[in-house]
This record gives sequence, C-alpha cells and structure tokens, in this order.
Amino acid sequence: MEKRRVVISGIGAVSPFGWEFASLLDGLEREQSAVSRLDEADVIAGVDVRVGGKAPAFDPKIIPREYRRTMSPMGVMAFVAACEALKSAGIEPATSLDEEYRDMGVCIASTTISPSMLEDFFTTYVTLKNVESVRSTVFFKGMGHAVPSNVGAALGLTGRCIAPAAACAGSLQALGLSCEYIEFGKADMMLAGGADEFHPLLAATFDRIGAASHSREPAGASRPFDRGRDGLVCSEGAGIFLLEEYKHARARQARIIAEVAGFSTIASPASPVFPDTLAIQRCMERALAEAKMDSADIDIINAHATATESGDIAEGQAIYRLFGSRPLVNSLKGYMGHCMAASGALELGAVIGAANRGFMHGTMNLDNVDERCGAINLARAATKCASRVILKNSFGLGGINASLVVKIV
Amino acid sequence: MDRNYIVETVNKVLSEEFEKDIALFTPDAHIRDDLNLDSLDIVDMIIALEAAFKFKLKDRSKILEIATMSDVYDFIEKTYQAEISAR
Repeated sequence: MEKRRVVISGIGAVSPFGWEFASLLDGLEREQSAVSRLDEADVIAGVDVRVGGKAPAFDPKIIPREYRRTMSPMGVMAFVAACEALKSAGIEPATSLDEEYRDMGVCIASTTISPSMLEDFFTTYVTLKNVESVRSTVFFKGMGHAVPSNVGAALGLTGRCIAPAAACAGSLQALGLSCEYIEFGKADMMLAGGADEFHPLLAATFDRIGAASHSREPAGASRPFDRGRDGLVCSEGAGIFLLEEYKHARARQARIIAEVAGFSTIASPASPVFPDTLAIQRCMERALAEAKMDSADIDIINAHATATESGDIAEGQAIYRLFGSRPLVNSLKGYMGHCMAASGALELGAVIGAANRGFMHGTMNLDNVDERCGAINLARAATKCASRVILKNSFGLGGINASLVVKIV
Repeated sequence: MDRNYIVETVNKVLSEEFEKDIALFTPDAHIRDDLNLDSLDIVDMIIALEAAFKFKLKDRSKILEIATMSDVYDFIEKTYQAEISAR
C-alpha cells in the first residue's frame, strides 16, 4: 500500500512565553528566557528546585463552562493551542466544527494525568476519607485520555481520540502516530501534539532522581550541552499541530507549512532513566530510512538535550556517530526549560517557524561545550540560514525514543 | 431559616457555581430545559448547596425528583426542618 503524504497545515502553542505561537517565536528570536523563579507555593520542603517555566496567567473563562468544567490546566492549554492550530490552518474553531472537518481526529500526549487534579482529589480523600465533596467533574479531568477528549468534545469532533503516553517523548510520538494514521488512510486530518502542566510534583520527581537543576538564577538555569549544567528545568505548555493529508490540504487551498517525511519511535530497555546512545542512533536512522533520506540530507537537528549530563552526552554522541560535525545542532531548553510531553511539538514548531523566518536558534547558556557530547556542530547563537530539512528528537523516561523528520516546503 | 433566605442563598450559590445570571434562577425555571444543567451539574449542585447550608442532602430519591428551582427550595426547606426535628 502506498503511503499518503502528510503535511503540517496549522501550529498552535502555549508555552512559558505566552498563550500563542507568535509569543514563542518572538521570545526565542529575541533570545529571551521564559524561565522564572517559582512562587513559594510551588516549593516543596526538601526539594531543592527554585525555578521553572510556567505559562503566564490566563483566564480560562473564555472557554464555555460546559466544556471547561472537565478541563484540567493541561486540558485548557491543549484546547487553546488546538484552536490556534485550526485558525492558522484557515479553519475557524467552533464548539461544533463545520461538517467537512468533523471527522478530524485528536491525538494528544501528556506525561501523567493532571497532577493538579490528583492533588484536588487526594487532598479531600486523604484528609476526610470520603469523596462526598469532590465535584463530579474532577474524575473527567483526570482520565488518561482527558486532554484529547476535552479538545475533541469542545470542537465537536467525531474522529479518532487517542492519548498516547511516552513522558517527554509524548508529543513527538503523538505527531508520528497521527502521521501514520493519515499515511495509511485512517484519517485525513489530525490535531496532534502534547500538553503538560507545571506542578511541584514533577519538579520534585526529577529532583529525586538527580535530574533537576538547583540553580537560583532563572535565565541561566537550563544549560544544554554546557559543562556548567546541573540538570533540567521543569516547564509547561501545549504544542498542537494540524496534520493533514497532502491532497486534502491542497484541495482546500490550505497553507502548507511543512511536510512530515519520516518518523520512528523505539524503546530502549536498558534503563528507565539513562538515555541509550545506541538506541538514539537507531531511532534517528529509522526516521531517516522512513523519510528515504540519508544523514547528508539533514540541515538542522533540534536536540532533545534537557541539560542533564547523561542525556546530553548520549544524544550528542549518537548525533556525532550518524551525522558527524556537519548539520547544525541546537536545543531550545535553555530558553524555556523542558515543557515535558509538550516539548517535542513546541520545539519542532519553533524551529519550523525560525526556518520560515530565515534563521535558526542558538542554544541559550551554551558557554563552554562539554566535549564529551561529541564533536557535533552546536549552534551557540542564532544564525541566518536557509534550513529545509529538520530532524527533531524527543526522549522519555521509561526508555522511549522518538525522532521525526520534516521538510520545509 | 425562612424561605426568602433559602431562595436568596440557593440562587446566589448556583449562579456562581454555574456562572449564570442570577436573574435566571426563578421558582419556575426548569433545571434542565431552562438552566441547561445536566446530571453532572446536579451532583455538583448538591455539593455546593451542602457546603452553603452546612447540612447533608442525602435523600437520593428526592434529588432525582428535582425538576424546577422551586423543587430545590422545597428540598432545602424540608431537609432543614427534618434536621431540626431530629436534633
């Protein structure tokens, strides 16, 4: 069976920079940091994390209550980003989309179910040992598939509703799976990506496994590939793409932003925590093979690079083995921290946006390259360049690897 | 607790809970047809009213019989009277 072509026709983003894609692009282009000091309420005794990347305050009441009542913070972010993705694709978001779009699918990943929902529920349950005062909608905020369900319901969609989970590889996996649905004729349009909300629980979890930054200085805290790094900065957001079958997009005269050329996701059973150089290399090789490309075709590699020692080194070495020192390699986590399951789609969207603006981002806080990351062509500062083919990596705890190749058209 | 207090309190609590204009909460307003509240909302309505009046509204069969706002006021009033006489 011949695979159908898949294009990106819309992008929406909620990030620590703001509640629209343009704020992400502009913030990154100005080389600003969106990491800030945490409020006291976000600091847990015994957890030495003081900075994070939280989205600015937002009034969710713009969403009708009947839909909002089952949305956790990550559901709200995903819905706002999905609406923006639709708008940018020339489709007006509505509580019931036009008939021709209603069969659209939704595939959105999150690292865990909403931690704030869990906190709400268990605070009552543990304290009172009953659930009589728990609102009926709390459970619906915490279903494993709550986020794609929220988005689909609020747009009146009747297509596939899928909630893959692969921690920080989540949104790249959701994008890849959605491409496969479209390639094989199971859907014509998919809203796909990831969403995660900041919660002290996540920062604490990364701190417990020795992976979180203890920096007190927000702008300098996240330092991918830098010798002075001390771990990742937890952030939040939602990155949602509208993926569409090529001929479908052409027929409705949609603006085609980029084409998805290849995708791979593989597991690495060696460790639930430590990234595996060989697995990363194999994942990128498979994505290239799916794209019918070789390493010489790649212009830009947007690395997962979270600013952990083991992760940066494993990925850098895998990139060097496969690509040598030629393609430009950057990481955006120095600018906004690690948006968890949303990071793959947010960062890929940002890199596509930069390519369309004729430049490529640098890597914030990369002052002294850790030579153990391999002799890769790391972008320290933004550069003017014409990038056409981008490889994006995302890796998740539990040994999940994902790579996606896109072509700017 | 007089009827006026019950009506005012119920209307205020429910207009805030469901983000609706308080003027919509009239005695003959139908819970589902006029206020567009569904079964999930009715569960939350009971929780909100229990918190406001500080007593439990446990009688499930009575809850299922609620159709209009007037039924809500009656339910609160009767439950309160039963609470008082049980003390």
